Amino acid sequence: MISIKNLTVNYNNKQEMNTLEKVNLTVQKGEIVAVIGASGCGKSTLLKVIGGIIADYQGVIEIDGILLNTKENLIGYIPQGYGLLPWKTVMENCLLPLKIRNIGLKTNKKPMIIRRGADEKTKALVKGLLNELEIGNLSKRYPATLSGGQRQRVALVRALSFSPQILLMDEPFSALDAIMRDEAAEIFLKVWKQNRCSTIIVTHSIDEAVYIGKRIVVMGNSPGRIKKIIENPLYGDENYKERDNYKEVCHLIKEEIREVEQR
Amino acid sequence: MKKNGWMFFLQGFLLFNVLWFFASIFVQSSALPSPLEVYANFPKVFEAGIAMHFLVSFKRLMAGIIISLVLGTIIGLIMGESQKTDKILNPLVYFTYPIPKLALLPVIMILFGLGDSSKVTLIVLITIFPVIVAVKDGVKNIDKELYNILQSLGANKMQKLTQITLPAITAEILTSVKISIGTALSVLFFAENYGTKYGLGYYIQDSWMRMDYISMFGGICILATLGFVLFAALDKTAAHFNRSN
Repeated sequence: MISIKNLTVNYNNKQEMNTLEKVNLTVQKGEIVAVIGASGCGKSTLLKVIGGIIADYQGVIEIDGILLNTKENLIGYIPQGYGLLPWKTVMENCLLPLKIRNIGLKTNKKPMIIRRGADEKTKALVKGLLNELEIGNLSKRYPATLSGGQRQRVALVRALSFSPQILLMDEPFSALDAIMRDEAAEIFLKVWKQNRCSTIIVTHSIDEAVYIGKRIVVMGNSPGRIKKIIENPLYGDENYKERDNYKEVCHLIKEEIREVEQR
Repeated sequence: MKKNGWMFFLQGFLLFNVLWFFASIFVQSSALPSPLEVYANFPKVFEAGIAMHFLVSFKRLMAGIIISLVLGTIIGLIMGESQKTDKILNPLVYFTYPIPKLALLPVIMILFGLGDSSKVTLIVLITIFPVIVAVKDGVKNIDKELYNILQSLGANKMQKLTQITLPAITAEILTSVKISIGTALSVLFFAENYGTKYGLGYYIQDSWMRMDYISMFGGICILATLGFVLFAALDKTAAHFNRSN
């Protein structure tokens, strides 16, 4: 569970980021919250604060009841460009979180001398995830040789490889073309359902928000704050586009965003 | 090196030898023997113990390069990470980079003596600046998003250094050393002029003094080979680290 109380981030000219004011949000375990809003409303800033990347904030953030601490919490974060390390293979990239957190590594009697790799069980687990996302055959490839969709899947496997408590995704599907975007969102939901961690997904696509988000948070800008939280009536409905209220829901969100932009 | 890389090398090697061959015919001087004579003389050159001279030169060169890599990387990392240090050190690097280090030879000889340390110091002075600049610029060009990933995973500074910073700049560091290899070898050749009876530089100049031009060219060929092999090795290693980009 993610619980955010009175989160305020002031403008800091050293880092290019947008401000946030008194953001209050709770994301339950097993819930996906889609955050949507005009560009510059601080959506990415919000994710970076929860991800422990921006440490300069006021307010309280708790993950499963513990104050946010990246060394204690297990946070899966997928940035906009996916952030794959170009010099590591797909497999090595996916094992990175485990390596950093010392999870599932071979025991080593001479630390510092021999680099420890992942143990067989962990490798099999990651391989299984890769296979599930239909990229198992790419495990030895480098990110530069992959397509956008494949990279997005690798980033997803990396973020899920260490069974995180929470998952933060910053416009994960925006770099993909329309057809692949739908497929990617579908596949995402499929693997997400296996561990159902509290998830916040930032998006600028209303359609995506309606498909993925159990609740949809509309943010307003300068300063960034939550304008409205909409319970999504179409959540979990695979044929959501064919429902009568689909247009209505989209229209409602659009109106909320437009109102913000007109101010 | 790829197959066409070898072809490329072979082409250059053959063309160079053809030019050399015709130049030797044209000049008609004992100072420019034909390549055939030089290659035929190789067994004699090896009998005279060129392997030993090679090893001594190689050792000096490697010592200089390794010191440059370690020191240059540390200085570059500090400059890349801390803006304050960069502000202080950058003008100094900028100012001292173009100074011809060879002109400092007398000073270095007085400070470090006639032995290996003054020779290695000269090589370090030549090769360290490109390393510093490559590391400093390389660090600044690393995608911040990569650090964000590690930050959210709770990585410590050491993990950020070993998982991101160093692998991200390795290719640039190696390329910078590769470019300065030629200069480093020229300086070594010059530095082996004094206070030593070993090294390819000594061997070449000794043969020159004895007017044994054929052996002198043998030494030059070995020195050139050393330069070429190092260049190719660094090139290949840099490409390995760079395959991602």
